[in-house]
Order: sequence, then structure tokens, then C-alpha cells
Amino acid sequence: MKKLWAAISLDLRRTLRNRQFIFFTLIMPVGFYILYSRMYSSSAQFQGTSWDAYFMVSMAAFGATGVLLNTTGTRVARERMTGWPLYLATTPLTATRYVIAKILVAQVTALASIVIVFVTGMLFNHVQIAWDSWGILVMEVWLGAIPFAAWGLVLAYLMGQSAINYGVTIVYLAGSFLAGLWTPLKFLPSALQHFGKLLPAYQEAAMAWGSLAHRVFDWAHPLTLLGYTIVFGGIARWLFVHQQRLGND
Amino acid sequence: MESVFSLECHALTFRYGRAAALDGVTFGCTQGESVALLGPNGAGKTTLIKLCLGLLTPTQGTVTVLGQDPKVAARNGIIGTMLQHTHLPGDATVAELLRFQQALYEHPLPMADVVETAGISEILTKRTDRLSGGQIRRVEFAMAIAGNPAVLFLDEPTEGMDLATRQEFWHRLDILKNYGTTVLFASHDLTETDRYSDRILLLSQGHKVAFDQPEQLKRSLGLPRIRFRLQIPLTVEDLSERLRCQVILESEGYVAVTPHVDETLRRIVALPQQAYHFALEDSGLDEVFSHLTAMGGDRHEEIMGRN
Repeated sequence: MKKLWAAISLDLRRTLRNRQFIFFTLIMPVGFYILYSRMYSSSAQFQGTSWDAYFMVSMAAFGATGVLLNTTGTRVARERMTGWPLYLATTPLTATRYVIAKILVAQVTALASIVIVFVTGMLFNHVQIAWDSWGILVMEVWLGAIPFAAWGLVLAYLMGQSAINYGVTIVYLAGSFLAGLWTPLKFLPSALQHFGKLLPAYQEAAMAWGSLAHRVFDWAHPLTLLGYTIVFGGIARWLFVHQQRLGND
Repeated sequence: MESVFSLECHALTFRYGRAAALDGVTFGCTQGESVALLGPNGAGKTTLIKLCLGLLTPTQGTVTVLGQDPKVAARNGIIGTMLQHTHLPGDATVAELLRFQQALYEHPLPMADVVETAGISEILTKRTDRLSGGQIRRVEFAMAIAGNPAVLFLDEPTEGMDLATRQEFWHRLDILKNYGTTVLFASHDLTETDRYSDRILLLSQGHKVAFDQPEQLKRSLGLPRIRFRLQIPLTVEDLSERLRCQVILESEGYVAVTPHVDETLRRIVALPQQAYHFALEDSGLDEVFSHLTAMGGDRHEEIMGRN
């Protein structure tokens, strides 16, 4: 536990020191939220809730997705190129602990990202939700983002340092758009709507959108996300073990 | 029976596809011993170090560190490492990295000792992406020793260091050796290897071509050299013919490289060009290195016999 904590502590400090990372994953979603929510009337209703609340959830999911993909994808891929995980393999920190530390740091940072967007919604757009509902929304968006940690690892182990940025950007931006985080799915062509509903970012946000509209909890969302986590996690684990055998990590 | 070796390799072989990067290498290092890995590029030095660290799995043969599989030894905190091409995380400070490293080991060295031994007190608060090449190597050395490991593996440890830092580095490594730390280091620097290793493991094309003390290697294989000057100069070709041995022209005179010192000396003295300023030298490690790596493994095993 002491070793894992040491890895988490070092990684968290490094993450918070990375201004570029902070801007793109913590500040940018807030900026987009403020900008887009001002484009419509604050009283506009959408899908059984206010547009401000709906889009707040969209941007919280967008931010959390970005944090996880960048931390487990971009950062792990870059570190692999530098030989840092190879060095750590010669220390008592096992490779598994290294990956667990990365995922935990990503989850903590993602939680911060979600809370920042929600606090912005509360303070700037006066989104009003019962206190216990805030907690549920945070947990839905936060836990719903877990597949992206595994997806990021798959990209990190598949792609080199030069290609990882493209991989993460495509999954992050295109995935978010097609999942309806920027433009609600009902405004997209019907084929894209069907495709978008299959994406994990949609499943993540849809859980929270449902809670906002006081709809009955749809277990299909968490089960789909669990399926994504198992599939991506399995692929990431296979790639990870394969790389270890080759002596690359 | 418990092994007397801190590090022991037996018939160690590693193949990348069909090509053998390391082929049947056997040797052992005792506690507190410093062994230099020497060999031309592609000789298998880095592969050997990676096998000893458990980063590669042998195709054949075994390697143990204090009697343990290298992966287990790494997990147990027995190993300290300076790899050749590790880039420390640039967004971490030196102190953060050292604290992290210490937390990974059960019985780390006190921070003050690590800082003093590696000579990094003035850069503790700096981020590693703002350090010079020599400073980074010192930080990597500090990390290698922070866990108080029993065996140190150093791949080209002084690469990028200036002369003063190098001397300081070897001095500090000597202190660790005196406390019983076993050191295996790869180097291209023959002077450092000669001066700071107890034994040299010479590799060529994946084969062990020699494993002995530097002095012993020089004595066994190097040819003595006779330095001299001439009142009336001769060409190297002419001189080689007259002395019947290899002659090299250097800035301070001629060097005759010969296995028959007495006979060659007599011929030099008999030269009408009046030789003077004689000096007899043993061969250098550079000569041994060239000779052995050119000869190849099998032939040398016959000559050395006792490895």
C-alpha cells in the first residue's frame, strides 16, 4: 500500500503541475459550458430538464472523458517512450501497481473536473437540484467514465508517442460529438443517432440526463458501460502482458 | 548449497528471432566486487544487463541475483539500476523522485546520505527537465542507490558527465563497494574500466571472450611495448622491417610492439641511427580489447583456459 501511495502521490503532483493538461481537461470544459449555455435562454427546457442543467452534465462527461483518456492514454504512451515504466520494473513497484496508480490518479482528477463543471453550473447558471441529486449526478458521470481509463490504456499500448495524440483526440472529440455531448443526438441524422447511442460517452451522460429528468433508472446504461470496461480492460491487459514479455515495459 | 555469488549467470543465452544477442555467457560476481562489462557496440552488454534485471527472459541458461530470480530480486528491493536511456519524468523535482524511490524500498538509505553520496544537494528542488546531462546522470545514480540495494547495475553510468563529475562518481561508487555493494557496470571508457573494476567481462558478438582482472588480462594477452627515439629518423615501414616487429610512430618517438623484448631491444640498440630514451611498457587495455574482440570467443577460451 505504501508503494502504491508513493506512486499515486508522485503522479498527482506531476499531473497538477502540468499546465497544458489542466487547461485542456479542467478549464476547457468549464469554458465551453459557460459559452454554450449562454447561447440559449436560461429557462429553455430540454429532455425534461433545463438546458443549463442538461449541458452541464454533457460538459462534465466531456471533461471526465478527457481526463481519463489523456492520463491513461497520452501520459502512459509518452512515459513508455521515455523508458520510465521499464525503469520502474527494476524497482519493487510492480507494473500492475504502476497502471493502478495511473488509473486512480486519473479518476481523482476526473472527479475534480466533474465537480468544477457542476460548481460552475450552480454558481454561474444557478442550476438548482436537490443536494442528494448532486451527489448521484457526480457518481453517475464519474463512475460512467471508467471505461475511458481502460480505453486510454488500449491506445497507449497500441500507439507510439507520435500517434497517440491523434488517437486520443479522435476518440475524445469525435466520440464526444457523436455521443451527443455537444449537440443532442435528436438533432443528428438518424443513422448517427443509432450509432451515437452505442458509444460509452452517451451511456455515461444518459445515466445522468435520466436522473436530471427524474426518469426511472435505466440499468442498460451501467451494464453497457460495464461491458465496455471488461472488453477494453481485457484488451489493455493482453497488450500489457504482451509488452512485458517483449521487455518493452 | 548457497551460492557464493551476488550475481550469477550460467550459460546465459538470449535470441532476438534467430540472432543470438548473447550466447552461453557464464560468470559470477562476489559481494563488494565491481565488474565492468566491456565490448564493442552490439556485443550484448545492454542485453546482459536487461537479463540480469529481469527485463528480458533468457532463451536459455539462468541468471540469479543473491540466489533469486531477477524479477523477484527487483520486487524484493535488492537491485539498484541506472539504465542507459531512461528519461526521468520532466515534471517532477529531484526531491520528489527521491522520496518516491525511497518509499518503494523497505530499508532505504537516509535522504541526507543519498544526497551527499550522489552530490546533488544544490539541485534537489529543481525539475529534472531543467537539469544538464551530467546532473541527470547524478540524479539517476541517486535513485539507483536510494533503496540501499545489494547489487547495482549501471549501464554507461558516466555518459554525459564531465571529467570532474566522473572522478567524483567513481570515488562515491568506491565507498559503496567498501560497504559491500556489488556493482556491474557497462562502459566504453577503457581508462575508467581499467582503473575502477575488479574484474572485466569482455563480450564480443554475444560471446564471453574474457573474464579476469584488468592487470591479468593485460599481462596474459597484451604485447610489451618498447618506446625509443632515433637521432636520425627512419620510416615506420623501414623500421618494422629492420626490427621484425610492428612499429608505431607517435608524437614522442617510436613504439615497437613485440613478444620478444630482448631480441627486439638488441636490434634497436644495433641500429646505426642511434636510439636513445628507452622505456619498456606493458600493453594497455585498449590493445587487449582490440586483440580479444577481433579474436572472438572460442579462440580466447582456449587461450585463457582459467575463466
